[in-house]
Amino acid sequence: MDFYTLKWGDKYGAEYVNRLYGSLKKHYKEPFALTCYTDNYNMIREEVNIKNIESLRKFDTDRVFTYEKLILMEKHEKGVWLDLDILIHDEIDFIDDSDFKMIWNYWHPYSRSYTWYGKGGSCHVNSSFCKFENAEWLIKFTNDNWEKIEWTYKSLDKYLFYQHHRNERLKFWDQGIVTNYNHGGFGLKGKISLFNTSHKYNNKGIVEESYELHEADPETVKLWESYEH
Amino acid sequence: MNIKHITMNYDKVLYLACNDIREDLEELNSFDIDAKAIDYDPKFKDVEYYVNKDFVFDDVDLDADLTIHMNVEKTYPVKLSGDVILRGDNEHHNGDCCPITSCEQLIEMYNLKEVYQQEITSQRKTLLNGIGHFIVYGRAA
Repeated sequence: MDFYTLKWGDKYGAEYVNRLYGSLKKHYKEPFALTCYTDNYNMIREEVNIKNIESLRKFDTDRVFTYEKLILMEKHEKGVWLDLDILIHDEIDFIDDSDFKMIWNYWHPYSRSYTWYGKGGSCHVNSSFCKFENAEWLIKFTNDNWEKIEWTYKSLDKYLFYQHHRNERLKFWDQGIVTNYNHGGFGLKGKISLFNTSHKYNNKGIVEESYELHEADPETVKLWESYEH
Repeated sequence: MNIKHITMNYDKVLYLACNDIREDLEELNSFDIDAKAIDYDPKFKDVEYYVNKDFVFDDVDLDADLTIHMNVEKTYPVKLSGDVILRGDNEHHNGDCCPITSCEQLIEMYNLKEVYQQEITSQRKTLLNGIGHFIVYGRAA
């Protein structure tokens, strides 16, 4: 399997890439490769393939956060894209033949969307661990509608939720496989835990206690550090 | 500007991004005005007089004598024809992709050929705080 991740700017250091690779080595039992699209390859372990993230920026915009993941699908027929701020802590044995499968935010009640749908406060999908395989429908829709997408959506996840979940085009990992550390009692559950906090800064009015992976409890950080080599 | 009174002068009225205006739609239709709303919120699925689609991305019929867009700040500026009422604000809600800061902005965004009325109001907060609701009534093409 080919895994892909993105790293740009200075929010996350090389250790995030290196430990992600280490976690795959421990928990993915088939042959694999990890490619990191980045603007800075310093200190990234040599087992990781390096590519220039600019090659994914065909639309030259910073408006749709992490849209670069979509461009991966034009360059690669099949793979899994991973966010750096996830922690894989159990066997990855659930990847199937789906053309596109991503995370449903089971920790956010969907009923909330009936109050906030379309107002931007409601997003129930997450692209931090996403499998793709010849998802031509998504590539075509994106290219055909890019001007509208760029105008409308601040993030890839909101685009996927409002345009593709609404039209029942998305499939999701089963409940319990991917969980959210910050919305699950600050512990590791399932097989993969998310630590994302960017929504707090990309939206106003969100006040919650949440931690990045390097800020997590000592036991979690210790596990993460164990993937360094 | 009394939007409801204005709609009474038209035969075919279309509301965009209007949220819940079921009572108004029922009333207009009771006067034989062909009034409907397009709103993609799932809560309007199978609701009378609603087309539960996204008028920006989905294939929908936007033909009307009067189109009333209630949340311009939240949507891509699609091409409209006939008379229009455009309402937008600069409240910067999370889903806003283009905050509206003036009536002139609305006129330019939708390339209005003629302006009948325009108005600035405030809601909840005062204009002194810089929060305004901008409304333009005019002709798009």
